[in-house]
Amino acid sequence: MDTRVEILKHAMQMVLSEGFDRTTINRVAERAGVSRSGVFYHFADKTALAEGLMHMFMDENNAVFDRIFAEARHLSDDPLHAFLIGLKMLQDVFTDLPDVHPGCLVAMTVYQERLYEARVHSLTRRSSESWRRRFRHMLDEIAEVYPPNTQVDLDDLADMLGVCIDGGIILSKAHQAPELIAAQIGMYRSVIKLMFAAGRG
Amino acid sequence: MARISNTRTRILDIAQSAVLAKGFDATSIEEIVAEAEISKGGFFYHFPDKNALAQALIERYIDEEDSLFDNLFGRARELSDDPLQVFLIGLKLLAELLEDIPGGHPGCLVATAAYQDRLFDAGVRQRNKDGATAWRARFKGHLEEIVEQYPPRDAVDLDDLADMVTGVSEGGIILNKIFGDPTHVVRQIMLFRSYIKLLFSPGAN
Repeated sequence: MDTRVEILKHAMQMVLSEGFDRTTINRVAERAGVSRSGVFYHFADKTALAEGLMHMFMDENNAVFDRIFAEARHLSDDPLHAFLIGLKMLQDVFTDLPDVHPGCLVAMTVYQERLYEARVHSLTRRSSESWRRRFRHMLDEIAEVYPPNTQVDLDDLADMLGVCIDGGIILSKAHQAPELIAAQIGMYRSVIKLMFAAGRG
Repeated sequence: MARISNTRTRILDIAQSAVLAKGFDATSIEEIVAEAEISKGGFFYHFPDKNALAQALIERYIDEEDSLFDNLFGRARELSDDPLQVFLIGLKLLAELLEDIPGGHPGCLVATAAYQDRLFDAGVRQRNKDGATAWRARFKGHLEEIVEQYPPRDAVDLDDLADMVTGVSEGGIILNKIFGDPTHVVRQIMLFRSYIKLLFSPGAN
């Protein structure tokens, strides 16, 4: 078992459910079943731990997106259809979660802005920029084949997927209804359909 | 009486900005008391504990948002009889209002409460849920009037579509905070508005 990963997993759970201030090195050590010095061996301080969490969050998201959208592309050569298939698969990922989604680390970080060092905030920006680049690239491919039906900034449209997921997570938490995240991704899917599909009506 | 209600409002204002910057848990009664320049007894006179403070914050926030939506969409109703136009005008007014807040929207208390709900008692959680449910009902009311005249061009669930107003606002505020750019939420709401136009306008282009 990888101690570093074990520490990160427990710290992630704690941050998302109780916030960064309650996530003390002592409590993380206890939860992960390692000594304090064991935690410090991997993370020099709490900021290093926060950075480790953000990296883990980014790696996990990238792995899911890579897998889903590669598979979708495999199923259709058409960039619009591939994107719509990928979004459907993403809905399934959220539908299959056993419980209410634990939360988005980025959202948690910006809502506890003052507790984090600038280094951590620059990582959250990097995470969001990489989402934007990824989806902007797909939208560019779509727009080449299907000119948008309305004037739209493709960076904003790329950002809107993350917006719908974050909004969906907050809705699902407020209503205690896990299905609302997939529902909002479904709405984003409808936005994409109407923005690009030719020969409507 | 006026002084008492002023103190209560001051406590709520101080607590709100602290909560939006670092969360409920990291906001201590001590720091609120210090900033408000009151005694601890003065604080407890207004709020018996932190949950009572949280509940009052959420209630005030939801009341303010409700009257804001009443104003914007009420004004939109004065400007048009057509339900689709009313909704589009209301969204535009909402975007303009968000654009005019100096420094951008400070953050949504419903989001912070949703994220930290394990810290709160059932009363706070219920108030948060009621608030989100009322927003859904409000926007669904508009959408139901719209679909009577304009059949949607895609099969959408009106609850989910109504939730999207809240979802896009919440997600947009998070984007504002990530990039330190208050225009994101404005642009996301305008993007949602474009979608509403495409979804309902006959022969839109």
